[in-house]
Amino acid sequence: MNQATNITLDDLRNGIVGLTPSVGSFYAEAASVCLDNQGHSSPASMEVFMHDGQSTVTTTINWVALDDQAKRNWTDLQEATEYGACGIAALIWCNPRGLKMVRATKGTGIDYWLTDGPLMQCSARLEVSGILSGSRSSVHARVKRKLSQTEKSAGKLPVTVVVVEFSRPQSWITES
Amino acid sequence: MKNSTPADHDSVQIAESAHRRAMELVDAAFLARRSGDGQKERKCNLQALQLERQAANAIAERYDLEPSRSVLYRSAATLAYRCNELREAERLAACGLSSEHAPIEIIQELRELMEDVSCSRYHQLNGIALQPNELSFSMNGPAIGHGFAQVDLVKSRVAQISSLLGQTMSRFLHFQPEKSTEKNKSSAKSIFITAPVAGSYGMGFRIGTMQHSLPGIDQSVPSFELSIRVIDEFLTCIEFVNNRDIDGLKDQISDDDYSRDFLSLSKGIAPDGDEIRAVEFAANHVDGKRIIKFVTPRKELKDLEISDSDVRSENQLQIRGVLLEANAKRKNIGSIQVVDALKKQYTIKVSRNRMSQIVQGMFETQVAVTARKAGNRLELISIDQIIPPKI
Repeated sequence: MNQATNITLDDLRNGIVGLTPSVGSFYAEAASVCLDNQGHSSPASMEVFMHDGQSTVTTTINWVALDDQAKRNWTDLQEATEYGACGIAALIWCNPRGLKMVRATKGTGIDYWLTDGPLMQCSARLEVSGILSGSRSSVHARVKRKLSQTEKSAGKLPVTVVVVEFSRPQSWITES
Repeated sequence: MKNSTPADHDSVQIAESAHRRAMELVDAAFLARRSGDGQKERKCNLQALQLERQAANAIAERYDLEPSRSVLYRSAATLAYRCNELREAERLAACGLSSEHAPIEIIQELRELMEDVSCSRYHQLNGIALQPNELSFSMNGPAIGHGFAQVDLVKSRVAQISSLLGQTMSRFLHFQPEKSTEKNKSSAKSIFITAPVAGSYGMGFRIGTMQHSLPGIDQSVPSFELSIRVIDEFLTCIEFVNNRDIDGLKDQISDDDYSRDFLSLSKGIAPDGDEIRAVEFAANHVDGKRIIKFVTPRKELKDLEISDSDVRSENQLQIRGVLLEANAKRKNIGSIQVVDALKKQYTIKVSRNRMSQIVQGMFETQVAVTARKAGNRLELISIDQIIPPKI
């Protein structure tokens, strides 16, 4: 199974999975802010549930704690949660599978495509969502909602949904 | 993908390279915005637009390269829209739409972008320049004339929108929803209304900062950043209601009282489907204009509710009747009286804050109340106005 059992947030700073080093660093900082905010210190364990919990892997997350000055740049924890989740998704899902995370601008944000081809060819859409602190049922509800949102468009593009929760670190990954 | 020639390979490489550089500039624009450098942000976005257009044009004839072709055109059109290059945004979106093989999802997103561009052109032509802390609101339907509308149709919605904006701000500032504190009042006082505009009857709301100070109004709260977040949150929640997505609304607003009040007030804002067909909101989000069209009619929202999971069903009471009386003599808690069809009177305790923000606009109308029994008294869980069917 292509599943990382040990990830290091700092790897994102090297521009892996097609992310630029600047945005990778940004995601790495965001994820470490969330883990730190929830009282975790490196290394921490994260349960990764795949395909509605049919398989589970425990992954160790390593990171370098941010200094106070860097933390002050992250006053908005909601923002940190969203970007931190993208960083975790890149490391636990895309990197072990050799997939690139190709981004494009959409609406007021960015959408992500997972591909092993040129541009967005041979790709699936990636929907990432973060929860700073929530129960397992709220994580389930978020996965369900993300899937139903993609179903509403009645399209044919495959979608991978990754929901990351930081208080009892866990990630749920579902493909449609 | 068709059998590719060397020229095709070159065009894909050009597109990949230009797209990658475009996204680097989008990242730079994002980081510039975070550090408050608006000038650099705009410069980076303009450069990103040039490169993303180059990427899309490099594979303009490669109709076999989907979803890449339509996604790149959508991305370039989005950047043009962010840069307020509306004609260019329209042109690029049209190029994306011209492919027969574009995926349905991307076609839908391109159409939505075209609609947003069209709405922005309308604003531009009418001299409406939205600030990031402003929300525009307009209505469409047979009851709306060019620059005029029935008072009732506008008045109630204006009151409900400003209540929702005030409540959202209070929630972000962690004020107690159940108390009519001075803090909650100050949230309501930082909502301003801007001049109506003709066309589809519309007006604007501005949060927090006025260009000129007004006597007696404290403008230290909220911050500009908070104002933007409040508007963004308001639009997100309206979108959930419009999609009848109660789980989404509950997920977004974890406090049950706040989520119930949002649902209740937004039902009052919803179009009736006859006189008003759509209620449209637009805000200049930092990444571009965000437009939400509230089109789900009230009758399709009336059954939506957020149950109180802490209260067992036998301890809940559903009452339908006319809201006739209110008592607001005490500082934090008041009461309302509802009389049902059998003339039975129910007295229900309501916090003063909810009384002023939620209940006030419903006096002498038919309401559906859910109340919890607490000993001998009833406490309000939720209240919805019943809109009589049109005869």
